[in-house]
Amino acid sequence: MADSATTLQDVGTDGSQKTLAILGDGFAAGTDQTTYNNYVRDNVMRGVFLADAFNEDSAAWNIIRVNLESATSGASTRTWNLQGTPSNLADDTFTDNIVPTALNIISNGEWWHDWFENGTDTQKRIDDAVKKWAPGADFILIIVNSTLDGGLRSDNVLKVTTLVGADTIEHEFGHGFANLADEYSAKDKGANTDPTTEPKKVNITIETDRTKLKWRQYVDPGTPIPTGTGKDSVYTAGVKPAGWDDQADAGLFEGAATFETGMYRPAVNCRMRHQWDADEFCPICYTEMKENHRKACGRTFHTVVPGRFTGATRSEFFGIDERGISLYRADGPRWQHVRTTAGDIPGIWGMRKGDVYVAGDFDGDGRDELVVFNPDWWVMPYLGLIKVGTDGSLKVLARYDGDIPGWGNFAAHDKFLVGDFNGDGRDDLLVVNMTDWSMPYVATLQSTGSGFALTNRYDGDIPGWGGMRSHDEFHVAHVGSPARSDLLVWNAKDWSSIYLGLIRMGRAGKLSCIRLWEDDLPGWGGFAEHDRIYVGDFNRDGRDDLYLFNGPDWSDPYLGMFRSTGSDFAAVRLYEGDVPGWGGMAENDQFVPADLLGDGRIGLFVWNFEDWGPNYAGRMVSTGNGLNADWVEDWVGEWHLGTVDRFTVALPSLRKIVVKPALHDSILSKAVTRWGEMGLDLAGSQTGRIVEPRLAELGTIIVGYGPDRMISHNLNWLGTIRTAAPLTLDSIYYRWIHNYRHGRNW
Amino acid sequence: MEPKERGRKQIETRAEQRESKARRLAAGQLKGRPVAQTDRPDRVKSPARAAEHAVPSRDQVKRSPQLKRPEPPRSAEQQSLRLRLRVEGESISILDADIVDAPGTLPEEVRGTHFLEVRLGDRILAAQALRDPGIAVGIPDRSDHKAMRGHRFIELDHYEVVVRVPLGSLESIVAERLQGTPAQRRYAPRLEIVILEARTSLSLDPRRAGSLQAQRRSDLVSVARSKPLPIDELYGAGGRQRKRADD
Repeated sequence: MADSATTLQDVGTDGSQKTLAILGDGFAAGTDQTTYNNYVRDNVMRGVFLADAFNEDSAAWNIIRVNLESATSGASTRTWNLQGTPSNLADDTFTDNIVPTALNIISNGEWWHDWFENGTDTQKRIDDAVKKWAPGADFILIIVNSTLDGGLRSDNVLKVTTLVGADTIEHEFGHGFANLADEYSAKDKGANTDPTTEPKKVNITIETDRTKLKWRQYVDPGTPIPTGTGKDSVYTAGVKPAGWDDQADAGLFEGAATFETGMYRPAVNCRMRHQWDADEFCPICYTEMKENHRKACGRTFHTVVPGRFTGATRSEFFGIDERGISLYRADGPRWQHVRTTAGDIPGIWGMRKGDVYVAGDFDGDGRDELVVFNPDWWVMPYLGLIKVGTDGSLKVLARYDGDIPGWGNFAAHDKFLVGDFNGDGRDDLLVVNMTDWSMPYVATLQSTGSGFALTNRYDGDIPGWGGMRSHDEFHVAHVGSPARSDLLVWNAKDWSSIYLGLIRMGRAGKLSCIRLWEDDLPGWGGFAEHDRIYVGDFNRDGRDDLYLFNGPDWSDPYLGMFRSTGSDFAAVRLYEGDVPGWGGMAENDQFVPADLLGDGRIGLFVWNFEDWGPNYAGRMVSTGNGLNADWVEDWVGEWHLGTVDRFTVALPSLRKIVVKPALHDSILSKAVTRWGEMGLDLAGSQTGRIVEPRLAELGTIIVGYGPDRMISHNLNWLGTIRTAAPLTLDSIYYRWIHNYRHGRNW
Repeated sequence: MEPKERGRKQIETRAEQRESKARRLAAGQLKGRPVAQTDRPDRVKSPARAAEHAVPSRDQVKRSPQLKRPEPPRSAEQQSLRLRLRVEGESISILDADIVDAPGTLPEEVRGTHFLEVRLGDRILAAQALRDPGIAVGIPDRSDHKAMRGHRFIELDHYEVVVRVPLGSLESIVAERLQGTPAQRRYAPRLEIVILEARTSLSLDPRRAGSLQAQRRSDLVSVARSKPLPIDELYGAGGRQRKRADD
């Protein structure tokens, strides 16, 4: 075996990304290399980079495993005889077993002798290996094949033996990545005494004045300062408050940086204190880790894809970045990080700029999968179907390279829409390309549960639509039934008339336009070029209805409500100039349909950041046959409304409740249109709404509680807006999502 | 059209709605007159024969194990001059310099208490944070159960640091020099490498104007520095370059 390198994680080098080079010494060819590979997999890739802050920011790191072949198995060893005087190194003697290895590192297993010693050319061998295999290394981890204990860090080079596990590596990375100090005390070996000057590092101090504490913003005003006194203290200032968390709550505790007294740390426990029984960083170390990786990991909140990914009842979303995607789960009114995947998705998908994700339940198990498409980063376009594990892990189930049979090559402007067009309980894809070919093309990609099969392609036309054109806009809507998706197609530019079509898949699996409206929908008063379509079941009958809005084309803006009759729309209400309570519609009003109250009626979340001096956001709450509006100006709680804001609807968390099969039977016997009215008492105070039309197991009902969660987001900020009452803010995050026990990172 | 000139909608009555233009259409019925055709590509998809296949077999969706990548760029932005430095006391010397296929170290932010910067006058070419420079730190002794154990700190009489200077920065310096006056062309710009120590933990932006030390003069002190290094000795003028690492 020749020396080689394996890229374990590739996040690119086009920004501020860092590179971790992992080298092995004392690993011979053959099974030793498997041992080395497994060590790296278990202790670094899983042990470190699946752990809390390391995982959250894993997109900051390229990880290269350098596979160096040693002539013999096992590193050189040296045994020191301390002569009973450990602190006096001058009288120590040794015996050793020096063997040729890739880096010639000597493992001695002796704290007093720094655990490791270098051979005469070790430094050069390390540098040569890094220069050849990982020249962009920012941090170097060297795994030494030895049965002796040992770990030694010098600036950005950490050596450990195979006896050392992930917990120690995490702790040492805390030093090396974020310049964190130890938070533990010591006596005898390695102890310090009588600190006199304020240390420079962010997580230790000699300061006991609350107002001058480096980390005062994270300390609850009710927490005594100091919180723990005495040698290597824990919480001593009275009884710990109920709910106190030794790792997540900040205070001031004596004993840190190997000083037993006089030096203070922020938390009872932390990964920088007890690496063997602490499983996360205290809030101060966590924040410093995050700050150190913020630029490199490239995280923004610009793009979020909501869904129920790890459980059929969970409200979650993926935050999408160029080289990493992160799953977050609703936790009451807040969000919590579940898992970040960086670089490559096993199976394999390399995350790159231009990846576009959509979510859908493509296998019908109640949990959503992801579909990702990248038309132009690689030498050909790629489409992938990604399964999300219950732990948030990702796996590519199917990948289509350049084409899916029957489509005739992916192209730059292929767009993918999600809907269960054949009503088989599995979401399908509709692929649409209006511009890249001599004629528009549309095709249905039916889900097989583990991939897609193109069932029909429509070249230039869908029967009944009368010819597709470049400005056809497709919207997925459940006009006929909640269990089957239809398409609404709008074209206001390519014909002398303006058209709206309703397209449905027939029994033979073919799409056809079953309804075509030309220039008008009865009750609307004529289509116009800037009409905008919004889809939502505003009367809770299980069928999607239609909102039509026009801002600029008439003397006043108009908003119309049209209910679905299954294959047609009937006018319900037309608002001219204003929806009562909104204060006047304007040209640039923007809308997102959402279940604002959690009553199953889809209303409109509305905002306007262009037509007025202040910025406005508000609600247009559906009563079933009309809208009631209200608004806020410039601020929703702490969220400052601005033109960079985007709004994305995440479904509420659901509850799965078990009822007697007989009761379930009676529910099933009701018409779908009545389900929304069947309130179920939850916890004596909440009324749930049945939201899952396909009740898979007799005795189990999926009940929704609460309104949709309106996610407001831009590059650096993410918030959750509560829409059940006049708009309020449930949670707000800056740069990263973390629920500090007290204080926050801005 | 100005808003005032726009008309109001004429909403049809219920009776009129029943006579509306909305209607069921037979498949294939044409719409009205198309607006002028726009230029479209000539490309036509091949006939959708494969569409007749129902469900692809596993083999059909089987894919190559790796995505095909574009040729990796080897531009100056993706390359750097890798300097291996030796720091002894207050002195920094260069052990070797190689051009490598890795971008330089000029991040948007460096955080910590010690920083290394490579600068040309007040212009920063590379900067990075150092962690406990000059000290090796051994992990606690887990086998010693008698005492609460600490790290072992070993002060080094010298240590090595690697920094990568973006090749693009050096090339632009060389180009500026070659375009300068004869006197400027004769004078080789001199780089300086400095290690700075902060009084407290700092966050600095190396991409801002001015050296790190200039940005926070009162908070940073120089603890080691190189002699001024003529750029010719590190990176060629007139087309001479250091050898590539893989040569």
